[in-house]
Formats: sequence, C-alpha cells, structure tokens
Amino acid sequence: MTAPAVHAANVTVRYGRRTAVDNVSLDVAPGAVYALLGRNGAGKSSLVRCLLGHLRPDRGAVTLFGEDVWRERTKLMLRVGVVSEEADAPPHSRVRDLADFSAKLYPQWNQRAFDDRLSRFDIAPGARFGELSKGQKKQIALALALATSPELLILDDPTLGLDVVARKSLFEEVIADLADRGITILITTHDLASVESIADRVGILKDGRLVLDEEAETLKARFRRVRVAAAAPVLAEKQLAVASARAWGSGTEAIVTNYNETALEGLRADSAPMSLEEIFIAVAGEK
Amino acid sequence: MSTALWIAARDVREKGRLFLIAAVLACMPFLATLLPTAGGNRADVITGFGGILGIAVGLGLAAGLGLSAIGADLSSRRMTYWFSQPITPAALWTGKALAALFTSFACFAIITIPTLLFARTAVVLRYGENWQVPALLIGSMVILFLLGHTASTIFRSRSPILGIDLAAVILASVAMAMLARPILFTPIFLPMLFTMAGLFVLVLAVAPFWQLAKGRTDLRRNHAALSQALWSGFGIVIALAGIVVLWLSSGRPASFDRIIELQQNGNGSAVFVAGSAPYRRGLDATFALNPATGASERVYVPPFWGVAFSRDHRFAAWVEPGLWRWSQSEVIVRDLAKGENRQLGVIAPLGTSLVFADDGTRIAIRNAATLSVYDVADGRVVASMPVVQNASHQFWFVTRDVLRVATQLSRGREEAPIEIAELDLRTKRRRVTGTTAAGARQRFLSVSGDGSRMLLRADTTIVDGRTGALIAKLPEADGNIMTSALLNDGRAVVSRRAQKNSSTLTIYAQDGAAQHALTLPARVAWIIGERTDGKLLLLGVTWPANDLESRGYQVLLVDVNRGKLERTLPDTRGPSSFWASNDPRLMQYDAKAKIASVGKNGKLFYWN
Repeated sequence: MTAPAVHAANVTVRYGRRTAVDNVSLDVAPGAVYALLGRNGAGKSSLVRCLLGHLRPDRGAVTLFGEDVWRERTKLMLRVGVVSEEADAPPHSRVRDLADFSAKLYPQWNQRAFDDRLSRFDIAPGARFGELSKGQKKQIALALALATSPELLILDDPTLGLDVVARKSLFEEVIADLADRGITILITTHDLASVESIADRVGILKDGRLVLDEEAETLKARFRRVRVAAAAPVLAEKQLAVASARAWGSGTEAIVTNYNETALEGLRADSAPMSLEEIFIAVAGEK
Repeated sequence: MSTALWIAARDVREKGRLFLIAAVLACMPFLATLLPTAGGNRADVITGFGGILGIAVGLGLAAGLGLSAIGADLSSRRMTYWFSQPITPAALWTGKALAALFTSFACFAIITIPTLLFARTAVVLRYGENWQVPALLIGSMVILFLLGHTASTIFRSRSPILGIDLAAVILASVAMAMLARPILFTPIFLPMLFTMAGLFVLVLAVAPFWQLAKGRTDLRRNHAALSQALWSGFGIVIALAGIVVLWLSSGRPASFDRIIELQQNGNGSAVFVAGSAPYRRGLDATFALNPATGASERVYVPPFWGVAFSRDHRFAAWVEPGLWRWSQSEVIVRDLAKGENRQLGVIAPLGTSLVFADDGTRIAIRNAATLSVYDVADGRVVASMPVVQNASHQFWFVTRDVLRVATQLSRGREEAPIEIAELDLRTKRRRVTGTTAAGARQRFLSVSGDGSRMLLRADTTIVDGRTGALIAKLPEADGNIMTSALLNDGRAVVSRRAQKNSSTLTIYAQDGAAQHALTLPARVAWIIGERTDGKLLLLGVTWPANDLESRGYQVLLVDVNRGKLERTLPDTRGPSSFWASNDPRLMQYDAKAKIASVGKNGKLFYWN
C-alpha cells in the first residue's frame, strides 16, 4: 500500500497559552489536490509549517511520503516544492542567482522549465528579488518550486495580496502544470473560487480544529441550500441536518449538510447546489 | 560542506557592494596626506589612518553581520526560504558564518593591505611585526560576530525567555566570580581564564547549530533553543571549571610538596604557607596554619605579597584582593589565637605597607599619599599624615602612641637626605625630628628593636633613629654587601659575599667596632631573624639552587655573642619574613619557638 504523500496525526501547536492547531489529523493521497481552508488565524500557516518540518508540533507527528518530516526534512525537501505565504527569498538576490543556487541544491533541477516560466511571467533574470512586485515574487517562488520537479507542492496562501489577474495567472500555472504531471498539491487559500475547480479534497480549519475533511464532490453533494414552503421544523422531521435557517417569505430557507434526493419528497420545496465559498461560510463563518 | 560553501558564496556575492565601499575607504588614508592639516610624516598618517579605519570597519562589520546574518531573516520571516530547501541547519549556519567572517576579514584586508604595501616600515614600527596583532583582530572579529548573532536572536524575539537569560547571566557571573576567588593571583588563573574564554567562544559558535536545528523558522523557538544551548554549554564549562578549581584547591599544606613562600610569627604559633599539592601545579594557594593543632585555613594572600605580624604575636594582617575589583583590595586582620579573620574596613591596593604597633592594638597603613594609623579593634582612624607619594617611606612604632617615619626623596641624585618625623597619635600632630645625609635609594633601612638606631644599609652607617645624628660608620664596608641588619640591641650584622660559595658575616658592637667575623658556607646569606637567645637565623644559598627541593639552600644559626656558626640545616629553606614585612625591625623569634622550614622533599617541618 502506498503511503500518503502527507500524513498528519494528532498535530497540536501551541504558542504560549494559545492553541493554534488542535489535534489535527489529515491525509493527502499521492496525486491529489488538497485545499486547506480556514479564516485568518484558524491555524493554516502553523499547520503548513508543521507539514514542512519548519515547526515541531507540541504533540503529534507529520510524515511526508512515509518519513518523519521533522527528522528527515533535508532529504524530503528534495521532493517538495514550496510557495510560502510571504515570498521570502533574500531580497538582494537576483532572480538568476536564485535559480543558480537552486540548481546546485536540486539534482533534478529543470533550468529550461524555469526559463520558460520566467519569460512567460515577463520577469528579467537580472532583477533583484526585493525589487519585484508582490505578484512577481509569487511567480518567481512558483517557478522556482516547479523547476525542482517536485512530487509534492505545498502552496501556503499563494494568492494573498495578489490582484485578480495575478491570481488567475498563478492558478493557471498550477493547473497547467497539473495537466502535465500528476503531482500532489496541498494548498491553503482564501481564493475559494479558484481552488474549487482543482481541489479533490477539502479540509476546513476552525479555531485550530479540523472541522471538515472530505472529498470535494461528496462535500458539494451533501451541502445544499433548500427552500421549503413550511416552517423549519419540517426539515428535521425529514432527518435533514440544518446548518442554518432563516425565514423566506412564508416558508424557510436553510442550508442542510446531509442532503439526499429523496429527502424533500412530499414537500413543496426546491434545492440548489452550493459553491465551495458558500459551504466554507456555512462551516467556518460563524463563531 | 559543499552546501555551506554555496550558501557562503551566495552571501558573499550578495555583499559585493561592501567590498567596493572598502576599496573606496582604502584610498582615504592616502588622500588624507593631501590635507593641509595632516602634517607630520606621510607614512605615519597613512599607517595611523589606515590602521584605525581597517580595524573599525573590520570589527564593525563583524558585529553588524552578526546582528543580521540570521536574526534579520528570522525577524522578517525569511527563514522559510532556507528551510524549504534541502539545506541542513548546520550548513546554513556554517555558510552564513563563513560569509560574514570572510566579508569582515576581506574588507579589513582591502583597507589595510595598501597601507602595508606603501608604508611597510611605518606599519612595523607602529604595530610591530609579530602575529599577535592580526590574530587578536581576527579573534575579536569572530567573537564580535558570534556575540552579535547571539544578541540579535535574543533581543529580536522579545520573548519572556529574556528574563531567564538575564537570570542566567547573573548566575553565571556569580559562579565565575566564585570560581575566580580561589585561584585569583595564582599562576593557574590566566590559563584557566583563557581556557574558559575559549570554551565560551566555542559554545557561542556551536549553539547556533542547535538553535537552527530546533528553532528553524520560528524566532521565539530559535531564541529558546539558542538559550538552551548557550546556557547548557556555559553551564557545562563552568561546572567543569568548578570541578577543576575544587580539585586544585583541595590541596592542603600537609600534602604540599612545593612550597614557594613561608612566613611565621615570632612565637611560632602561626605559619603562612603558600604552595601546591602534587599534580596541582599552578594553584599556589596560601594557608594560615596552626602548627600546634595542624589546622589550616585558606587565606587569600597572594603569594609574595606577604603578611605583617604584630610583635606581641597576636595578629597578622595582609591585603586581600577584592572579589569584584582587584584594585579595591581589603585589609584583613587575623586574630592568630582565635583563627578568625575580619575586614579592618580599609580599602587599599595590593602592595600597601602595613606595620603593627608592638602591642598589636594599632596598625599603620600607607596608602598612596596618606599614612594612617588605625585602631585594630574597631578599624577607627586614630591619626593620619600626608606623605610624599613618589618617595621611599619606612615607618615603625616607637611606642603605641608614636609612629616614626623615615622619608627619602630620591630623585636620581647621588645624595638624598632622609627626613625623620614622628606622628604623635595623642595630639595627632606630625613633627620633623631630624634629618640625615644619605646616599640615594636607601630603601631598606634597618632599625633597632627600640627604634633608637637606624642602619643606612647602602652607606653602612648607623644613625640616631630620632635625630639622624651619626653614631658610627661601619668599618671595612665594601661593595660586596649582600644583606645587613640592626639587631634588637642595636648591634649590627653585615653579610658580604667572599668567594664563589662562601660569604662573611661580620658582627659590630653598638659603637660600630667589629666584634666577630665568620665565614659562612653559602654564596649569599640572607638574614631571616633574630632569636631571643641571641642567635641569628640566616638563609644561605649555594649555587646551583633548586627552589622546589630546597637544594642549595641551608638554614644557618649563628651565635652572635660568640661569633660562631652554631648549626647548619642543609637543603632547607626557612621562613622568609624579609620579603613581606614593612617593619624595618628585624623579625624576633622566641628562643623556644619551633621554626617552620621547607626540607629537601619540599615538605614543611619544624625545628628548634
């Protein structure tokens, strides 16, 4: 049996008295795209730092490809590409120097792929990293990560602070590359619309706890917005779990989390699928 | 290692501008010679300016790069870049440190090498040609870099751990002071200090490996890991040093096989012995020893700085180096019967002259330009008088209420009169009682037991101790005088070198007439003291002499009344009061006192 590309078991991270990540367990299968969602301060970045071996969990363990990431980080990073939340290469380095340095570190470094992306992003190789715009920095980080031919790509909020065009460009790069290769991706993002089409599995962190971890298709299938010409209790009678409900004319509009085709039979009701963003708001939006 | 070198090369390339700036600065010393205000020798201006500039830039860069090498990346959250690559923490620290140090050294070299090339002779004249100056600079750069990194990590984190660091600094300082105490002023002190400093630098250099391995991208966890490594490392160094110091200082006089200093009071009831036990070379500790009971107590008298005894045998006094500031040393008085030490409450530098009154109730202390008399019981100042700082002073109590002071201003002249004054402790007045002509540098006067006579050793004349009036000029005085002294009753003894391994001792009557002359089997015969039964104790030295085994030394006992060498103790060293005592009167030993001496095996023994 193939080990999961990412395996987190009971990971807990504390900063003083505050618990940033609370007993989180998750698996990412090889070749899957895992979207890790959560509001600001939900613990996404702390969890990602644990997944990358940057931070040792106070409890629990993380393995990448079956190996402990804290102990084997150096070896594992040969197989992992990272685009971090803040693009953080040394600011005085020129883009070409960054590539040269990476080329020394990664035996599988693909200079051609890097050069191609650089020209597509229209960034001069002689530019200093610190002088680039935020979007260009992210593009460079992505180009560097992808040129290492990673088996696992970890993207920590890669669209944070980017404009719409840059966001689109970045996701297209990911998607384009995914089309070429079946690499595993773990992405944390606030850009739910962009990730919706590529995510195989979705995890939602709320106050440090993983409150949802499910296949994207299943998730979308069971979350529905339902409008019914009756009071809310009728939904409970039909064994439907209501996440939230409000008056809608003389009837009720509710979000149900265990929708099935037969549940609304006999009622004057209709249902509508929900976007990932709506599901996220339903799950993580309320305190 | 190759990864570390790549990181170093990358960092050095990134700092290329610094080398350009250094190259521009290298021109400054040469341009400075064009300034009309520069004046003087052109080579001097170049070497002076170039040297200062190079040192300032090298040290400043080392400290600055230490502050920024890792700390800046941590605080601006750029460490993710490094830890997202297949780079070990060890390679990262090694690479960053190599780059920073190379940059500092290179900038220093860029600025100073042109100076060296163009004004080599002036450089050699100004800074010398030995390797110590560049080695010291390189060492300083390394230390500044490491301290910069440590401070940067600790202070940037703004973590509560800072409180623990502060507490650890205080604890370590106290521990270091406690460690220093037993070995202060001993030969092992500096080697221990340098070894510990070296180990501390090693800890500073190694701790960041642990810091980055455990803290990685998190600033506070970096701080925690660094503190953990630093204080564990420092703790181990201090603990090891503590074990060494404990072991070194566990030697007791009974186990000493190397005695370098021995002093004894007049009735033989107290011995101060400095030396070391087997395998503990380097810690020459001083102990106060009670020969009757064998009890010993470590006292902090630096060897050879000596102890002053009161002639009633009750007290000893010495200057003990301060724990925190060596210049702030304390005068300690020991009650020899009780075996208790106490601070007199007088701060004085090492080398301060101490003289007791005969009854042990008062002590005169000369400290720089003031000569004060203190009450031994309560440390109260009884009276003071100013003295000329750059003059030779000797003082002694005539009675418990009168201190006599002989002062010779020696300004390089052939003749320098000695002024004699008395400080009356009842009226607290100083009065000049006489002067006497003397050759310059009479430094070590000898005074009779009652203070009424004074022997000018260099001139071999005896003068009145109060008025300075000439009493006698010793006959047959020549240039071979090794040592001389006035006996308790006013007679004089002079030891002269005769032949290769023999000397002559002449005993003179009170009127200066030679009474006896005898040959001693020693090249040099130092007068140690006088016994109350009229016997003179001398330490004879015959070449070649060996301090440790007392080989070549002998204690000689001369009957001054009969002019006979009565006893010879071969391969023996006796108590050496002449080293330390500031009292110009000859040490008086009871006839029945057992004299402490060091035998051939380096062991202490007693004889009468």
